[in-house]
Amino acid sequence: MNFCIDEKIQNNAYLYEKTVRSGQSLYFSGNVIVLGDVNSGAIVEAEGNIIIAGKLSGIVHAGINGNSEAIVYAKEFTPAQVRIANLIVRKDDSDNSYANYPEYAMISKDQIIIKKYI
Amino acid sequence: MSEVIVITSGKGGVGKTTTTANIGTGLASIDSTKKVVLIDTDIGLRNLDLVLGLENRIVYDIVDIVQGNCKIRQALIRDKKNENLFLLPAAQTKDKSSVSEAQMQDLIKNLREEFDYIIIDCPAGIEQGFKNAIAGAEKAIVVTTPEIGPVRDADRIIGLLEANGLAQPKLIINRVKQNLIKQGDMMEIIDILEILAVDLLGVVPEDESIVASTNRGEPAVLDQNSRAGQAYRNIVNRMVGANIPLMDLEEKNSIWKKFKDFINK
Repeated sequence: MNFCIDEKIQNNAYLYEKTVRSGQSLYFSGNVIVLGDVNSGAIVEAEGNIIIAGKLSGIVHAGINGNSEAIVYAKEFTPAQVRIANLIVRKDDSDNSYANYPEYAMISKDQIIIKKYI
Repeated sequence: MSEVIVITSGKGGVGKTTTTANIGTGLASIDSTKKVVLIDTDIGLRNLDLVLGLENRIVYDIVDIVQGNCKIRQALIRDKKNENLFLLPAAQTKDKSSVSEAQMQDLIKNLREEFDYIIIDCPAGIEQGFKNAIAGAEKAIVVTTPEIGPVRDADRIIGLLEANGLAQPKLIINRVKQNLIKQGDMMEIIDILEILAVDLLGVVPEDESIVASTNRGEPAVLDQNSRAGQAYRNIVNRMVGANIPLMDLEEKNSIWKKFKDFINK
């Protein structure tokens, strides 16, 4: 499947201009755009897509009401967990490597996959 | 018959969470027939999951249980190495008032049916988080370091524990630097025991390897080369009834020290 992230960002978006720190949580009924990082111990939940301009280390839940079309994008993609709709993946314990390019997560064939964002 | 033990200190940063992780891991590894659960009650500032290396696996937490969002079984996380060790994580995005003392007692009553040891990691302070942590406990371990601040706070905590029916708590003195004690710059173990007047469960030496093991999420108690790990193994064995003397806190003799001892003979 080929799509452009721009198409997915509709008018209904919440812009958070800071870093989401440990213990903080964001919830929005549409898309969420975080201009800072999402630190370990923080959680961002959205009924739509989640776009993170910085580093993602915490937990994200996109499409929280069951929207399996939702995606999660981050410039540095090292989340503890990614949840989309009713699926969940977690970081491999032994995997300490991370890519130095942006990545995004989406559902494909009933599982969450993480891909390089061009 | 299960044992419910709270690990507390008053002061923050003296090693409650490290002690909880090591005692829990130790109890689970010396007897694989006993089921152990560690409860993190530090809601809003949870750390026990990190020390055990289980952070990425948390989906539900203690607040989800008391609010009825999930069953107890769904929130329990099995340890990576020990099949009989479980973590019940705290919530990170809530605060201490999310759980009441009655809810804690109820939760522990349910956990008793399945677990032999229920170890509760208490938050720092004497407010709601402390009250929750001790609500369902029947035994207490107080952790302190050999400094005047932590010892005074430990004294306060022992008083509060006794007022709440947790008489005769056991004491762990953590991060002991024998060379500083010898120079007279650190409180002596015996002085601490005189002030606090409780039974000593163990003395844990300052050990740099514990920093590394904590950051790796692997409790030092499993590391046969770690002195702090040995101290925790001794503590665990004492908890199950073994009679083990306090370990020799002297730094392992270096060649230089042997040489000096030789000259001084």
